[in-house]
Amino acid sequence: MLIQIDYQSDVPIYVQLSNQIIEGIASGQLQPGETLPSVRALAADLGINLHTVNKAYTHLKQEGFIQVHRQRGALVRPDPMPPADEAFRSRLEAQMRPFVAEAVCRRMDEADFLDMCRRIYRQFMREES
Amino acid sequence: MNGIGFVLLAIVTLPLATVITFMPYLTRRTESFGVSIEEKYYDAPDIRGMRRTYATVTGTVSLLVIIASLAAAARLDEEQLGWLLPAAAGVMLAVHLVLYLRFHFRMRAMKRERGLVSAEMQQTVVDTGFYREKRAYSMVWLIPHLLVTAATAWICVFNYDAFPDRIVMQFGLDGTPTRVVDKSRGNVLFPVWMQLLMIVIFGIVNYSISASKQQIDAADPRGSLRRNLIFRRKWSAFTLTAGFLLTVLFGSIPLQQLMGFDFGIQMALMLTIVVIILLWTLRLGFVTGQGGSRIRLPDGASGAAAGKVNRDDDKYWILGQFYFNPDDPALFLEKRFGIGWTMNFARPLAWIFFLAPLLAVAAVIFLVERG
Repeated sequence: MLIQIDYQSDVPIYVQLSNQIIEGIASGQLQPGETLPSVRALAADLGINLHTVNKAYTHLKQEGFIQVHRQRGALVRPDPMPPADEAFRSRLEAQMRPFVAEAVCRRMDEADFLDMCRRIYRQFMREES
Repeated sequence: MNGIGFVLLAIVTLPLATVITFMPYLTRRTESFGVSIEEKYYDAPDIRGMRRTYATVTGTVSLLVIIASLAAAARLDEEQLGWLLPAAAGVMLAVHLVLYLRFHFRMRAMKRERGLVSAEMQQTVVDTGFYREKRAYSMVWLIPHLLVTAATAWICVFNYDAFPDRIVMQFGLDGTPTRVVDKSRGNVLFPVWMQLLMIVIFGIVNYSISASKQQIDAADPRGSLRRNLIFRRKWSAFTLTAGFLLTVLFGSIPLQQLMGFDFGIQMALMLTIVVIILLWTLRLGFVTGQGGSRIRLPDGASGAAAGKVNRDDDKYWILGQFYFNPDDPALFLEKRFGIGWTMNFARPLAWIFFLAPLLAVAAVIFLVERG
């Protein structure tokens, strides 16, 4: 999978990194159990501090997307993610509220907003097939 | 001055002149005289003009130096001749450096005025599967080198008594011994130490080819990735083979001393190996270009143009030649001007790798001199 880092973006590099790895897992470009580059190799390829990559990997590990073994390095979680339970739903809702609120402030149409959500959702489904 | 001197002078200086003359054409199209640019500016008339001027001046001066040194060779004695080749090469390299610096600073000035790299489009692309690809040939291919070395050592040790009492350490170009020393374990085994040293050096080069960080062109990630892998494998094959040929060359030294076969045979062997290595280097340079940039892929291999450009990392390149980035954990990376790899000199290990071969050569010579 290709990871693309924009240096001019307002989004911090470690967030770009972990977001793209999550997208890769969702779309199937990163397969369960697939090895990821070591922290050192990824930092070297990007020409950035080890600390930045470490931060992204730690975040992904905490969220359960990847496993970090001392010998085998980092790899995509081999088994499926746990289902979207109540705890996840309430967290997701809390995270989505500001996006919806801003869309409302800018008078974005409800159908329009839902269309966008659907389109993004289906992007991942299509790439998987 | 005999024919071999002329031949040796010519076969070393001509490829050197060719490489330094065409260097700006072998570099990636996203770099011009050590300054990063967008590929679309590579063919801008003024940038193209710089390359042409550089090549014309470097080529002309190199040719004059070669002609002058061949003419001088006829008049010089053996000792002076020893200095002619390094001197000619030194003058050529100095001219190339002066011209490089001139155009490097001109490129920097042009970039201050015109940008040359869009600020908004900069991106770094990495492939998470890169280190699962085959990037270099296995170190197992150094086993033949080790076998030759073991055979050489075996011959030297078990036939020690059969070696002549006085060992020739240096030959003149016409085959007359110019330096003869008393036989000792140290100087009989000299070729073996050199073989081992070379195996270590070529092993490190092969490792650096495999370990060097991935440098994907953001404008064509898929295509540049494939070209880069071909580039690495071709140079890895070259490195391992060249190391083998040189191991064989050093292995022939004790055979010559033991059997006293004709000096001409060994000279022919040496010239053949040097010619093979130099011609192969030239050919690879023009076929691959830096990072594989000149390799033509079968169509459809490149992805759609991504509309992005590489990150402008000029500030980490001192004079466009020396990479110094304390934030980057990478040790090996591709050069910006010319073909091959360089190191991140912000890492202490880079200095160790840089100085170790020099110290090792000095150590071998010192040990052998002392007997």
